[in-house]
Amino acid sequence: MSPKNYIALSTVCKHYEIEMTLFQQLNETGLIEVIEIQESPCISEDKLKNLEKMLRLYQELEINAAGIETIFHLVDRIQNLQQETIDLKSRLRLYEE
Amino acid sequence: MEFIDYYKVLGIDKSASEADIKKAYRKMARKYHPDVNPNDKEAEKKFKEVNEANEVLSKPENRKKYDKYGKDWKHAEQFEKAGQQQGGYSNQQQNPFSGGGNAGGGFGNGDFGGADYTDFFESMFGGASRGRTGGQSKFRGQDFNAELQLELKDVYETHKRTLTVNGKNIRLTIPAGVKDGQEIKIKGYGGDGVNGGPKGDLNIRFAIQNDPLFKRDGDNLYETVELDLYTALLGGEQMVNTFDGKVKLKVAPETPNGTKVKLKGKGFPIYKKDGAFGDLIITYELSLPKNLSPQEKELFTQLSNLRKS
Repeated sequence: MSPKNYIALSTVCKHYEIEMTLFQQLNETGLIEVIEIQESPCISEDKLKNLEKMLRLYQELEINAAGIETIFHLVDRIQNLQQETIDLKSRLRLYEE
Repeated sequence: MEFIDYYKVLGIDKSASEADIKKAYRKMARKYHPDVNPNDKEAEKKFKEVNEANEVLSKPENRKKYDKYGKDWKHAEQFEKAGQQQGGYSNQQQNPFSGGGNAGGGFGNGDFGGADYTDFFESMFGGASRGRTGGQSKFRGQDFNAELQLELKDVYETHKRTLTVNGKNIRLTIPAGVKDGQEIKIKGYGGDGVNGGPKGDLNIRFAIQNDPLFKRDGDNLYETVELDLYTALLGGEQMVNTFDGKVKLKVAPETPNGTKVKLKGKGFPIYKKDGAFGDLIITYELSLPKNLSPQEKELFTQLSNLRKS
């Protein structure tokens, strides 16, 4: 992937008014992947959507990095279960029709 | 308007302190926040109620009015002013709307039933309080996720499609070469924001069904073509289906079973690369003749003997 697809974390910090330590914590949990480009920590642009979700949880609900990590795991499981339910329902429909 | 008991919404008692309200609100917001309740309409509705309850109960002056006038708390000032003018209600400590039909009915049929006052109070309490963002958080609406089932042939060419999501028609351009599981985000087509927050997004995931003839792997297509014994042995021509029509292929004599032939540029269009295509890889599967006649059996026996000698 080319460097143009990455955004400097300092830009993200400024835009969302977030301190850099949160990104370090999120990086430690593995929720985001910070890479260094020309000695500047950056994040992939396609991960911004997820990052925004994390920042909302942090700013609006005052949840720390560990809490965000837990929520992400649980939401992921919920979504998988929801998808499984949809798949099973559509398979069931085949027998009902 | 249906009466909503804000205390009940936050699960607190009427005597709750400001700290209790804050604590209860935070607890409820965490429980029903759209980001922790994906695709849950009920949670989204509940979240809006919780925010509304907090908006009223977290501000002492609003809470006081709500406690006194209930669902009509937004009109409190006007009621009190009217009471003073009529020499009535300002001296009465009771809630004119909780007691009985007379007082409430009086206002309803009197000077205060006009729509002008509603607009006025909307801007006084509703609009203005939303504008003052200090202490009142804006929340972005929930992201909606939808799945669009498509056949392989549907994504061979760029085309437009109209989808209906939550009653809204969305004209969508589906680019050629979209992959199975790929997602696109349409900004602002998700759930409504809370307290003037922005709308969520609509994420559409493409689910591309398997094609009976072609198997897709990335930009390449794979097809198995039956080749009769005689063409495989003696060589000849074979008609092959591609996505944009049939092509005639030359088959070399003594072509073994499982031979692969690559047709360059006859595969699938490459996503967002106009005019670029992957390859079509054809695998020949030898088809043996069935129900042999006595004469055919005789000839095959002769052939077999020839190979043995």
